[in-house]
Formats: sequence, C-alpha cells, structure tokens
Amino acid sequence: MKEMDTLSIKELEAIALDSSVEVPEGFGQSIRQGLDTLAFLEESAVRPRRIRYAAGIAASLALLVGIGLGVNGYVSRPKDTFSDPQQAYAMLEASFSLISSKMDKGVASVTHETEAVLTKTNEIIDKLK
Amino acid sequence: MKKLFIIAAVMLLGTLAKAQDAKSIYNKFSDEQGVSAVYISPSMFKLIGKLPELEIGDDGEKVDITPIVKTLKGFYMVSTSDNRIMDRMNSDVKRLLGSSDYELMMEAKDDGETVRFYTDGDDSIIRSFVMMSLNASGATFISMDGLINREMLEKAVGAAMR
Repeated sequence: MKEMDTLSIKELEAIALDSSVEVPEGFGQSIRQGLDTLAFLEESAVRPRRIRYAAGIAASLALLVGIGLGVNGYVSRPKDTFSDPQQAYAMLEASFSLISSKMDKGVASVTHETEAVLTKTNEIIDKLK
Repeated sequence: MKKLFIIAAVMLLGTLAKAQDAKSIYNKFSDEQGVSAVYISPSMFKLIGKLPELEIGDDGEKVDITPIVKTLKGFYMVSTSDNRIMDRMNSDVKRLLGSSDYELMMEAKDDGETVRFYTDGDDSIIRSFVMMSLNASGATFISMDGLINREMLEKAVGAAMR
C-alpha cells in the first residue's frame, strides 16, 4: 500500500493489466461491498443536512404565520364602546341584571313545572286513597 | 422527509385554523345596521376596578363585584331584532359553543323565548361565560372572559335578582 503512493498512474495500470498477478477469491465482491457502504455513508451524511434544511423552512413558515396571525389579532382588536369607566360599569351592572332576570325566569319556570307535577301527583294519590 | 412535511403542515394548519370566539362574533356583527353592540376591554376593566362602590343588589344585600371586575379580560354584548341577522348570529354562536369546551349550565324556555347559559371552566373558576337569548322579537348574545370565581359570580347574579 505504501508503494502505491510512490508509483505513477501508468505503473499502476501496468500492474492492473498484468494477468500473472492473482486476484484473491471474493476480492471483487469485497470491493463492491466497500463501494456500496461508501455510497450509503455519503447519502447518510447528506440526509441530516436535508432534514435540517427542511426543518428550517418549516420553522420559518410557522414563525411567519404566527407573526401574521398575531398582527391580525392586534389589528382586529375592537375599540371600547365607552370611554368613561362609569358608563362602562353602568352597562356591566345592567347586563348582570339582565342575566339575573333571565336566570330567574328559568328557575321560576322550573319551579312552576315542578309544582304542577307535584300537584298532579298529589291528585292521583288522593284519588287512589 | 415526508413525515417532517406532514408534521409541519399539521402545525401550520393548527395556527391557521382560527376558531370562532366572542371577539370574532362581535367584530362580525357590531357594525351591521340594526345591531346594538358593546365591548369592554381589559384596560377599561382596570379603570372600572378603581371606581369606588362597585356593588350590585338592593340595600338589603349588596355584593361587591370588584373581585369579579378585576379578573375580567373582556365583555362582549351583541343584540339585534333583525330576523336575518338573528339567524346568522345564532348559527355563529352555536359554532362557537360547539368548537370549544363550553358546558350548558342552564336552559330556560318561556313564552316563546329560549335562553341558554354556558360556562367554560372548572368547579371554582369560570374562564368564559356566555348567555344567548332568542325570541321572536330579538336575540341577545353576552360573553364575559376572564378568571372569574364561580361562587362570586353566582352571588353577584343572585344579588342582581333582588
């Protein structure tokens, strides 16, 4: 192997063409396996780079979309209806009253229905007695 | 490579999928003719929180709602008597409630009016409260967002009944 470094290309070709030199059995297969391994290693070295490249693109796109949505959210923020906190509070108080009245109606209707059912049940029980 | 692109695409879709929320309902309908709309921002709630005597109820039993006001992050109210807007608003609200973790708290039907109350939260904290009232003459949508103490809200609503 050390001698190969000192020999010229022509000298190496001459040795290769010399049919008196015996090629060990399975040498060709070993060479092919070596080349296949080399090709696989080269591809494996390229693959992480491609993955990093694709991941970078995906991350950049996600960042851009996120920024876009953030800006959109900021832009679409509505304006306060009231500039006076007293008026805003008055509206809040009125809303609580509205919510209460609606809830009260619901509770009252449940109570009314429950009472109707109870009355009917008592009538049936009285008839059975 | 394929898996990576699928993951990236799903992440992008996640960011792009803009779920319906109270703000989008307010933005959609507030400028339409025949609609009354109110929005109170977190900044306004901070100012309201500094007001003295934030109490609800009559002289017999008043409830101080300052702790509730300080936790509110947004208040939206949209009201209309226009039938076409009512139908659109109702379907948008249904989509909002269907797409999120809202739970039906109460439904009341009386004299042709249907009122539904929804909350999103747990036993102690309400993150969002929604009321949707619908009858022949109009519809009202109210939404409050924040970290509202459930017990405090119930007391405030109870006091407002009196």
